[in-house]
Amino acid sequence: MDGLKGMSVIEDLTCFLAHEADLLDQGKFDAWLELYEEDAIYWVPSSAEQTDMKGQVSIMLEDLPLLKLRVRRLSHPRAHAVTPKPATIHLIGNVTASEQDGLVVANSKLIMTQVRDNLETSLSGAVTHHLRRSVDGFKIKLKRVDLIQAGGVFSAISIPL
Amino acid sequence: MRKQIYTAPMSTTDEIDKLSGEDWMAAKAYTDPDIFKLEMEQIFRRAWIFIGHDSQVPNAGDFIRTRMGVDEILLVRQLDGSLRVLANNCTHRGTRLCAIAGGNTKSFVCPYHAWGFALDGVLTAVPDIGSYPGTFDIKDRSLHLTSAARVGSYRGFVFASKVAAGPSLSDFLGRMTEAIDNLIDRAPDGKIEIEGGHFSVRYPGNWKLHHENANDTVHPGYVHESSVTSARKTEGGVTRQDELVDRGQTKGMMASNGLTSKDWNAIELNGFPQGHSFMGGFYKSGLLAPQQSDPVTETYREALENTHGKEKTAKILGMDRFNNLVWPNLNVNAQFHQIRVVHPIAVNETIIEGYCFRLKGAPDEIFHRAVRFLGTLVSPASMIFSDDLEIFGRVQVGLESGSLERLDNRRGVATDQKTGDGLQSTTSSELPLRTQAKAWRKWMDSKV
Repeated sequence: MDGLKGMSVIEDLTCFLAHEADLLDQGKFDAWLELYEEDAIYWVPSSAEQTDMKGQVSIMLEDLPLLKLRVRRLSHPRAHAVTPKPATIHLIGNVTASEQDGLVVANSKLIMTQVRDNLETSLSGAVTHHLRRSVDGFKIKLKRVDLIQAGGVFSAISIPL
Repeated sequence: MRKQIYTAPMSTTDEIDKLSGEDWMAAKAYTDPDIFKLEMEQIFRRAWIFIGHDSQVPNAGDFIRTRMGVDEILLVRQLDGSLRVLANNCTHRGTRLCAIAGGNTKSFVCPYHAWGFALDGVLTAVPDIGSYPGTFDIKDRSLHLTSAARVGSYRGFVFASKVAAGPSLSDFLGRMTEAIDNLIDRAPDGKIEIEGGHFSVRYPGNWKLHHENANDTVHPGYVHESSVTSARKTEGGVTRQDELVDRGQTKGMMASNGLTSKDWNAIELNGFPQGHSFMGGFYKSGLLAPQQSDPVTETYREALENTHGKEKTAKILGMDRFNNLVWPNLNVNAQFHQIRVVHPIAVNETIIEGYCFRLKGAPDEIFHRAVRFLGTLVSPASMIFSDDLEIFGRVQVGLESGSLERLDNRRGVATDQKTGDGLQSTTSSELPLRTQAKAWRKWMDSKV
């Protein structure tokens, strides 16, 4: 794994991750999905040590069709858990990058604050993106979010991290 | 000195009759902190409360930290192989003894002044014991960790009661042992183990709302409509990664809630005098349907047939039930190798824990399907369960801020049929709610 230290790479990645976060905060979920490759995996493991997708339960483990299903549900008029819609801020930072098997691996930290019905909740985690360079920037092949809350008691999560 | 055991105000039959009748529950029973205290005393201290499964504490010294009602407890495997349920607080200053989720130990040592307790809760070490007056006797039983009076296991499912008198575990469980038997029978080696992690999910509502919802066959068409419609409208589901993720299982589970009301009505509901109930299965097609045939299921079926023979295997796999609700705090889903446990935290706060089992002797893929089932249904990010949790919260807010005095449980009351000592319905009846309310009245009455 080679470290990518050039400022321009980090800047590009930071812009990309901020753009992804912004699409989620603005509720532009269809545009958010366009950042993902056809064979992408979106993964929120149930523990930070988790390597097993099948024999260990995950908070979210979704391929693109399931992500599409999730997004479709978010805009359903009778999706009770998101009616009223939560307001979110996905704040990303501490971006570092490396290269692995021809993919750019971006590591970042995420704090997601959600307000809904006057109730504020927050989730935080370490995020890993495996990205393919494309003509218009990057495409996500894998997004893994290791929540510091993993293993603990959660309230319902409805907006993707 | 140890604190006096909390004594709730006496509840008389007259008072309980003001809180619940055959087909109603008072809103107060969901919102009044004093009634919640009484429930913790009358139900979660006296009735058989599900604590955990044998496989969570297989060896001497193994323990897990969990709850019995609002009290934190430790389930501890003893040197002689028996189990104890101990209070997780030191008898000196009341300090929480153990802060980790579980492990293996020779003793429990308090972090504050290092009082040490053996696996059976007996106080064995007090630093500077010479400074205590002559009245202090380390052998004094009141200095031992409080141990639940009765710990019982039905085939590895461990329950406890803090009082010595009451129905036997077998009488308490009644026909719900069928669900536990069926779950174990589904393992070709006759053994099951909790594996694959678990979820703890909090909802802002009363603990009773979970069981009242779990065998309600009308709500899915409304509460889960968004996930049903979205699942039906989403194409494909088979990508290169689908093998890795779930082979369409999640989509199938979500779509399955979309039966017609005629089909929901056809699902059999059974309720029992102990407060328990079960509903028939409703997965009619796809990976999880009982009549499913695929290479993994066939290999699994063959392994079961080697153990049980063809006829019994067909019967075991043919037991098509969904939620088997053991009142007050366990849900066994034998067919999909799952359990859910209800932990009341406060009158308006509840934690649900979800676990799945590995069936020993079954192919790994069967276990993977159980893991996926758990993730799809009980993850905090579940597209199904999150809508249930939302509704529980809305009922709670509605009861706390509204003017409703009674919750109505009358649906189906005229069409319930007597069977054995229980009731049966095929009309989407609120029979499970009436069954739970009846057990609630019985246990809440101090004189019973």
